[in-house]
Amino acid sequence: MLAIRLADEMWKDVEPGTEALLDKWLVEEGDIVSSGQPVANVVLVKTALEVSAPASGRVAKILVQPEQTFARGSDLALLEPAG
Amino acid sequence: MLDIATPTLACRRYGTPAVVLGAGQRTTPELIASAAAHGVEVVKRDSGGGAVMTGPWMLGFSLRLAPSDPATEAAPLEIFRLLGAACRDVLGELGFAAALATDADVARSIERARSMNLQWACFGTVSHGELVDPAGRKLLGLAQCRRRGWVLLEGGLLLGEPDWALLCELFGKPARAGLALREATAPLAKRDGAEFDLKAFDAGLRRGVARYLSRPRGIRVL
Repeated sequence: MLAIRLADEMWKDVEPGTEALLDKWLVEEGDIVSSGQPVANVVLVKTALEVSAPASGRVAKILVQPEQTFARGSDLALLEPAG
Repeated sequence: MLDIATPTLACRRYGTPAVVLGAGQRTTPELIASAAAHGVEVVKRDSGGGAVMTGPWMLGFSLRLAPSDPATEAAPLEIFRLLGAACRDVLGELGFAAALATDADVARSIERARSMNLQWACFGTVSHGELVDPAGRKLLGLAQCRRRGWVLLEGGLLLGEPDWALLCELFGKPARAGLALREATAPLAKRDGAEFDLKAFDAGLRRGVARYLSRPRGIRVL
């Protein structure tokens, strides 16, 4: 399984302890996604961002629900890689 | 969208009041009903941040960066600082004193917003790249949206004082929140007796965008 996360470079200079908001999932558990495909919209320090799939595969488990917040490095979902 | 290589900037004024929600905020039936009763439209923007009440007291601007723009490689907070520096410079040219919020300004405003429950309002907190007056009161708010390599930056500059009491009423907040927002902000039009020159601001901001956002990644502007 691969973790789907918000890219670490988006957190650069963000104050420790700051959390991001999961705004909306663009996919559901079981969906097949391609590498780089946007799978969720999140908001971090006045910035609306996309979270992309790190590889092609199937979304196995969504771990953070819409309107929940999450910390740097959090797993937002698990991806079962294709092949 | 067209894949143009140069930043696209648009400045605007607002004729009538509206509440503009950030991307992560939710509309509620209560907000819609309350706003409608006051003749205020509720809209949602693509960028993040808190709610803003737009109207004749505000200058808005949008800056779109194509994936080919070098600045899109910068982290979100870096881009905020670069755009804030461009805004600071042009306001200085027009005779208005403004400074980039310091880390201390940001930390202080976050603490204050938590204690006063102001996080829902854009002007309830000060963030990196935003502009404050010498007393640390916010006068420019910024927000950002990133989609598939494109970056949209949006700004709201206070030329006058919004109806903070009405904004708080629409969100079901107590009157003291409106007073707190008033104390935390500093409309430009209140100082120096100078009229705001929109055309000069637009031209100056274009120069500033070219100066700061055409630089390669890693430039720090403080």
